[in-house]
Amino acid sequence: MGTFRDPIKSGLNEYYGKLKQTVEGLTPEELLWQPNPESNHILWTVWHMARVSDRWGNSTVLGNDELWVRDGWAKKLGMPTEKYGRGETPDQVRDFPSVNIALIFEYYDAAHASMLAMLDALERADLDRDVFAEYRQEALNIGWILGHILAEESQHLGQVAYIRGMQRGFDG
Amino acid sequence: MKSFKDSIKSGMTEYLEELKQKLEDLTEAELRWQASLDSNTIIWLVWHMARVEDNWINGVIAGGDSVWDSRGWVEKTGISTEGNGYANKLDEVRALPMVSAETLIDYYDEVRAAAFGVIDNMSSVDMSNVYSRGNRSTTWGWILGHVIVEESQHLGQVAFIRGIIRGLDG
Repeated sequence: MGTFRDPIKSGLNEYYGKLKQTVEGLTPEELLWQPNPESNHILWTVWHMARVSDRWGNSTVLGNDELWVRDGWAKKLGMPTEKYGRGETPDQVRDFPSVNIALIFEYYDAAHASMLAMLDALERADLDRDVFAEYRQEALNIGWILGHILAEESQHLGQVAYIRGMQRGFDG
Repeated sequence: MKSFKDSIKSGMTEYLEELKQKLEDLTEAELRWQASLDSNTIIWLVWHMARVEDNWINGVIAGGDSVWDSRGWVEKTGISTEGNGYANKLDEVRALPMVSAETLIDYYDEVRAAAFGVIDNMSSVDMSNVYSRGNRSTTWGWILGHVIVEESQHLGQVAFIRGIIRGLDG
């Protein structure tokens, strides 16, 4: 029998599968292209999406260490452990290191798997619980967070698709 | 006690509220600006988003007419385009009749009120209901997740286009 947990799970898998399709075949230049100097580029956006998944799931909801730190991904990607992307300036986006996107996806695969495991393990009673999101300095409800993750990640996916479309055209 | 259904509804509330914020103060020219000749405009995206939610939830899941058809929105908006915009060509995007963002949001609010009525009446067993079209079939559960993912993608695009036009703090 189905439950209302199913749409959240299939939504998570849908946006993530689509993201992988959308970046397929892009060159390093295309990944770093900005339509205007204040716009995010695809590589930064994909990295931020992975960080969002890891932080919401592992850190904010579960209260564990982020995989970014625990499994050494910050080090492997040569970035500071506190780097997350929220509120970064255009200079920081431009100076983002040209890391291999495959390595970001190795990290993202692990974060996504842990997100799905977290969702499976949540009980209905957990949804009423508030957790404190330190980086946002606010208490947030776990039920709200689940909907928010889908909405936030999918927005960024839409941006990746749009930036690709600007470079490659309709059928690219 | 909250349920996973509430998470779905709050995700939907979040993307519609944020859409309204992103549209604030945009001029007619900005609403119709294209980032490239192959790129969608903000106004077309808003129309498409409302139509998508209307079709999936009020049409497919509820099995009834969309709000678009049943409440005269073709006349109110002057948009006589068939369908919901899926796979529109770029000349169709450019040719969208002059319509204000407010009018489209009025339509979207009606869509949303109806859609929440539909979702409130759904139960867990409905998640396994199968929807088939052509040789594709999916479940109602998939549709609910898909609506959030698809609509939020388009919201992200609206926000991004606004950012290209207005810069980071615009």
